[in-house]
Amino acid sequence: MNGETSYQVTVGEHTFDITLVPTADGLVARVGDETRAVAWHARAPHVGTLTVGDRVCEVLLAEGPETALVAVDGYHAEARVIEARALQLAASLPARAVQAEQIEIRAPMPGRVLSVRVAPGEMVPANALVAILEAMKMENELRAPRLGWVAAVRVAEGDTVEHGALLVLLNTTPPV
Amino acid sequence: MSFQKILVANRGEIAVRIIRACRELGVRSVAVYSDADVGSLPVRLADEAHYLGPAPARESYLNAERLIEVARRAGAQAVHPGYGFLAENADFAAACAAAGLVFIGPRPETMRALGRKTDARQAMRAAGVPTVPGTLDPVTDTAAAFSAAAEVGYPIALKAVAGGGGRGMRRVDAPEDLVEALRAAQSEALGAFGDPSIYVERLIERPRHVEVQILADSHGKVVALGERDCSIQRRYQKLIEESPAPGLPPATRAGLLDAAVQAARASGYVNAGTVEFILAPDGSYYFLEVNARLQVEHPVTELCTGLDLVKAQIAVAAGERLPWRQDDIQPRGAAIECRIYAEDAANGFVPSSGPLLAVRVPDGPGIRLDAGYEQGDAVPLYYDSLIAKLCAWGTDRAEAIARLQRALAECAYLGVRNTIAFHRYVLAHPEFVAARHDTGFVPRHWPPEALLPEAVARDMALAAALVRYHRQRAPRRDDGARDHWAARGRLAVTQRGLP
Repeated sequence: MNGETSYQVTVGEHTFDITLVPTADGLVARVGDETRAVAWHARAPHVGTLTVGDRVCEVLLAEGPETALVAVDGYHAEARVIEARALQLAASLPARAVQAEQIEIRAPMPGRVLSVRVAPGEMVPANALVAILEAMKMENELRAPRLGWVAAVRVAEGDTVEHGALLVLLNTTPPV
Repeated sequence: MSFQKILVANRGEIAVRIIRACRELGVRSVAVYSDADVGSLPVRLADEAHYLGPAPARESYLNAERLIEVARRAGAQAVHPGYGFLAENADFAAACAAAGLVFIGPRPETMRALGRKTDARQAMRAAGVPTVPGTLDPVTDTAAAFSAAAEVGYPIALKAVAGGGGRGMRRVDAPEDLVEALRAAQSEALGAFGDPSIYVERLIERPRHVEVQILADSHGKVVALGERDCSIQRRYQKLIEESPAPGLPPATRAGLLDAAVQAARASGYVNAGTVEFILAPDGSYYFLEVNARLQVEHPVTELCTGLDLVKAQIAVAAGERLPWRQDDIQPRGAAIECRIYAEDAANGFVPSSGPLLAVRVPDGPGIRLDAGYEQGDAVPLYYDSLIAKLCAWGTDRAEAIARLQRALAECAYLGVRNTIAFHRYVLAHPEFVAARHDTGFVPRHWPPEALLPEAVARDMALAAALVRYHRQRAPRRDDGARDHWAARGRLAVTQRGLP
């Protein structure tokens, strides 16, 4: 369709369907019912100007593999961009058979591991205490979201961990 | 005596602030750094920089012996502790003096006396400074706690004698909750301060936090530099501070300043300090504590008075006389500070760390930014997560708010979650604008249901789509962000169980 590209972009609680159409005068974006001339000018690494119709605004943006960090007007958010083609492709594929999954218990904030309450091979009931993380002067209890069996413990008591660090891995099926 | 060289025993924005004061005074500054702060902004700005030790504060910025050794080796005559770390550590102040170094702050004995809350309450009551009704001594057993509570009347607050920062503090609404609350408060106080002693105070509902900046020289002169309202807090940590306190009747304001000067005299205070008060809805106020150091929020006082508090601290430490009488202090206009923290404000203010990929700093009329980081710096996870303090001055409060809103919209720290949007929300809130807020504002109103305006989200979405579009048509181009994200790993983390 004459070079149109469609994206589904999710920013916080908002999702937008955006179609970019090249024209002789540059790009035009269709967002919902609105159609506007748009342009992006990258000025410096992670800094650019966005033109929408007769409005120009400053945007800070750093792309990652799945989401982009974006700042506009003092607001900061992550934008997840999915190309519509990829969405259609995913919809056309047969659903995969339900497989054994793994549950990742990750650090919800940077902190220090006060204690790990499980060991590899152990069964962990839903809501059971898995580890205690000391952060912000408080003890935070990390619990299993559902029944699992400990596949691996990746931290030791006293370790300092970053936000998002993998602490414990659970299998959703018992070991054979 | 005047100093040729000062060691700055701190990091981040306050180290930068002190280094700048030194530079203006023609004094050489010595920065110190841990493994986490190699090449940090204060290190880049100082005349020299010395390595302290590993990243954990205990092994670096809290290592008194090492700091004194570095100060002596560098040939410094004085040590400025900033705030936090060793700033209110009387033993460190005494150790500096013993090593022939001038500690830029109050005397060790003053810090010790003010550090024990019951001692401070006794001294203030003796000096005629109003204190919150309650016990002047620690309660030693349950029976004493019951009779004290009955005397002041419920609800009460149990507080740690050695305390501060809300630790070891418990609200008690009824006698049947007292035993358990006392046990919990004692245990928390023991853990936090090594001292389980607790005292009893009447709990003031819907209070405002108002504090007075004082400056005292070693020749007996004390001046009050106006007050600050710091009622926008979460878990006893201040987020927004302003001067003057809005809506304060002139008589109340005069009473507060006078009480603060009395408090400073009663404790033999020297150097800059802050006397904190709690202001009840009925206009009565009570002494809370003295912060025996430079405060984070000192810039709002500087903006209104036109004085430089850090330079004044250095002059006082050098034995100089304060050149101002109380009548010379005539604050003008209004100033507000927003603390920009690397924290996820929408998710319980969880700290965030990482490199600042892109930074946009505001300026223009009435704006002052005290930042500890620049683009390319990383915010480490080991320390307080303050990135910068954004302040605005206006001829009145409304102008200061408008300038801050304008500046916040120009401000960005891309790479870490931060509190800029939180500040935009508070500054626009009718309760804050009308100055009807109290210390319960944040738990009452935050987070709001919708945080990101749709128009802003739409611009973000358009920009992200356009960047993707152009990258796919210029596939060779790549930049650091992708490597950065790959190195950080996937951040699909669920936030649970946070208060």
